[in-house]
Amino acid sequence: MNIVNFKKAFVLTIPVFLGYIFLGMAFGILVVTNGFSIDVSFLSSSLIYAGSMQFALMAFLKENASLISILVMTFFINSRHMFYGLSLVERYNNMGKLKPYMIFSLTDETYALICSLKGKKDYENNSILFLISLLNQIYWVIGGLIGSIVGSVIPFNATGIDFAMTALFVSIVVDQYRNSEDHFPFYVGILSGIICLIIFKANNFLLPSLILSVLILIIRNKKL
Amino acid sequence: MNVYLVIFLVALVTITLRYIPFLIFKDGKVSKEISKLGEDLPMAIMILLVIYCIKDVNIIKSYQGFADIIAILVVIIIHYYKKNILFTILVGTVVYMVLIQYIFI
Repeated sequence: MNIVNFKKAFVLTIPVFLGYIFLGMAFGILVVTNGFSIDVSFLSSSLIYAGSMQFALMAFLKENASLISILVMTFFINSRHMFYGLSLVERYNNMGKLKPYMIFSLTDETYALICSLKGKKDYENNSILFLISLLNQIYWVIGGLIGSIVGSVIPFNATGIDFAMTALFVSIVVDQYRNSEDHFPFYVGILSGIICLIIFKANNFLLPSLILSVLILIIRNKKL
Repeated sequence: MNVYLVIFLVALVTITLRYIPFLIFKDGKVSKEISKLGEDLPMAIMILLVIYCIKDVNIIKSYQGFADIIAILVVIIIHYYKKNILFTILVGTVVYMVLIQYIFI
C-alpha cells in the first residue's frame, strides 16, 4: 500500500465522501433523536453498512416491529446486492485475503465506483480497489458518529448535498453509455425501471426491476 | 428486544446477500452466460439506481422536482463535454443545492 495508490483512491472516492459524510450524519442524527446512543450508530454503520436499510431499521425499532419482520424486510431491501457480485466474481476471487472485506463492503456506491474502473489500469490494482472500499466505509462510519455527536445542530444548511450521490450515478451512466457500443442493457434498465415503478410504486420497484432486467438480458444473450 | 442483537442479525442477513454470488460461483469458474450477464448488468443497474434516486420526485405535487430534473440535465451536459467526474459532481451538487434552497423552495 503506497501513497500513490492512496491518493488515487481518495480522489476517486471524493463524490462518495460528500454523499456518505452527510447521509451518514443524517443517520447519526436519526439514531440519537430516536433515543439510542452513539454506539448504535457506530455498530450499525460498521456491521450492517447499508444506508437505506439502516434508516429503515431505525423506523422499525421505533415502531417496535418484530424481529422476524425486521429480518424479512432486510432481505427485501438489500436483496439487490445479490446481483452486484455477479459482475465481480472473477475479479474479487483474485483479491486474496482482502476478498471477504471486499464482498462485505459492496454497497451501491462502492459497486458503482469499482465498475466504473473496468477496462482501466487501476481496476487491476488490488490495493486501489481495497482502499476505495475501505475509505467509503470510513466516511460512512465517521458521518454517523458526527451526526450522533452534534445531534441536530449543523453549522450550515446542507439541504440537497446528498444529490452528490445522484450526480455520481448519472455521470457513471454517461461514461458507460459513451464507452460502450452495446446500449441494450441501458434501455433494458430504463424500461424495466419505469414499468416496475408504475406497477410496484416507488418504495418497492427496485428489486422487481432488477429481476426483470436480469431476465431480459439472459433471454437476449441466449439468442445471440 | 435487544437492539445490539437486532443490529447483528440484520448485518448477518445483509452480508449473506452480498456473499451469495460468490458462494454460487465458488471455484471462480463462471459460465459464459453469467459472465456476459455480469458485463451487461452494471449498465442496467446504474440507470436503475438513478431512477431510484429520483423515485420520489413528483412535479405535480411539488416544484422541488424541477430542481432534480434541471440538476440531472446539468450533470449530463457537463459530463458529456468535460469528462471529469469530480468537476461534474461538484457543479451538479452546487447547482442542486442552490435550486432547492433558494429557487424551488
